Amino acid sequence: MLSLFSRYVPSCYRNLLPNGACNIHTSSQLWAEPMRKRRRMDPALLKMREQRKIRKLEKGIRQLKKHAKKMKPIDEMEVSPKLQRELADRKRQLPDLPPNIVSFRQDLIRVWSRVQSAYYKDETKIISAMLHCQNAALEDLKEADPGLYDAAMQPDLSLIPFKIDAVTETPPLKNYQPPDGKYTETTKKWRP
Amino acid sequence: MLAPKKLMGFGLRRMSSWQLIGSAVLERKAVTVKKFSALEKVYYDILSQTEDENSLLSDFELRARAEKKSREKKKEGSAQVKIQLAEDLLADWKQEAERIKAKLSYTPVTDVRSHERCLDQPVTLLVKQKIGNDSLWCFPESAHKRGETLRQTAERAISEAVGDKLQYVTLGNAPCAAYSYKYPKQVQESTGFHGAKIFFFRARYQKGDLVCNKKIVEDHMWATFDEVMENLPAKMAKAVRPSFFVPPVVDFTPFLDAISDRDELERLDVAFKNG
Repeated sequence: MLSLFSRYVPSCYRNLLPNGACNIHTSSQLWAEPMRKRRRMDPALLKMREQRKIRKLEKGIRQLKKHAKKMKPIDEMEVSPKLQRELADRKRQLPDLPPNIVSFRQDLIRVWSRVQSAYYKDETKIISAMLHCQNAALEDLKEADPGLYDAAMQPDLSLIPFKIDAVTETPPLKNYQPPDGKYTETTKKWRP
Repeated sequence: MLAPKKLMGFGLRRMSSWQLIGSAVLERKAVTVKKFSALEKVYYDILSQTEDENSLLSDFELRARAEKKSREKKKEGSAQVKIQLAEDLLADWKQEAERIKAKLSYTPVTDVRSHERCLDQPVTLLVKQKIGNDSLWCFPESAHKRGETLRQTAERAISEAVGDKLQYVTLGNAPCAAYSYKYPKQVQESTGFHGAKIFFFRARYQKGDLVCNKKIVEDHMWATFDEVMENLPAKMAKAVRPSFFVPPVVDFTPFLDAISDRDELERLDVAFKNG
């Protein structure tokens, strides 16, 4: 009734009427909340946020990489910075060798390699003679007593591991007491 | 019925068979390096010279160089302060080295019965054993007994001849050489063996002193390869010879023709001969 009434009020006077009467509509009922309008974001801000996220992740990766398993450095393989700095200072300034000495050295190295080659040829001959000698002995044993031959063919595992002392310049001293000195352990500890 | 057949078979087998003997070639390996030959010495010198030339200066050399420079600067005037210089240190160290060398000098052993002789080459144990009617220099040996391997025979030969205080390692179960010889007629008849087959087992001396069993062994010696070849019966020496590893000696003098600088060669040769 009221809305009908308001319809006949010219629009210029509609605001003068009491509020209630003015707001009575005859539109259809809605049983749900209207969709909320999405807030529009500033694209620049969005981009910045995304970049911040990426940077954070990157930092995490870097941190992980930094504290990942590190290879143990080999000190002997790395020339210390101090030595690298002094490298030029440590060069020997020697006079050039006289040409006859240079050629003599070259000749002698050639002679040496030839002599060594002859030496190794002789050595292989000696070793094959040793093997031949042993094989002949084993054949002999096989003929004489097959049972003993079988025993001789058994591998001797007690020889492994085999330990040999290297030859030295001078023989070991008898009753030599090595001085028991103090020492400080300088080996660096590395976390596994 | 059975007994005579068995006996006959046994007898026949024995007459045609060989007596097996195990023998131990006990070797003490070289302890020290062999002296350089002339060529080795010269080559070694050249290598060390080139290494020195290509090397960088050490801390000590840097210090010596710096001291030398500063001394040259200071030479004009000013009283000298006594400090231990690199040169003095070097002289001190050299003196110390000489002192130690003199104190710990080594006198070579010449006794042939000592295993410490001829340290720069391997020496092998020879014993004077009574074989048949005469006593001969040979490796410790013993006849094989039923139930033992030949290696055990050889090891028993060592302990029988020189006691069991000796420590050694037998190198494997296989013999390194064999030598067979016929017995004279009388021995053939008395023992029933046609001859002897000796199998040699190589062993490595480790430590310990030997005590000769005078019942078996008259004498013993630690012989170098040349002495072994000299003292063994000639045929046996020929049989065991290839089983020894003797480093080859190459005569290098014909190779020296490749050197064009004869003067330098001669100078080095003279220097080597003078030590």
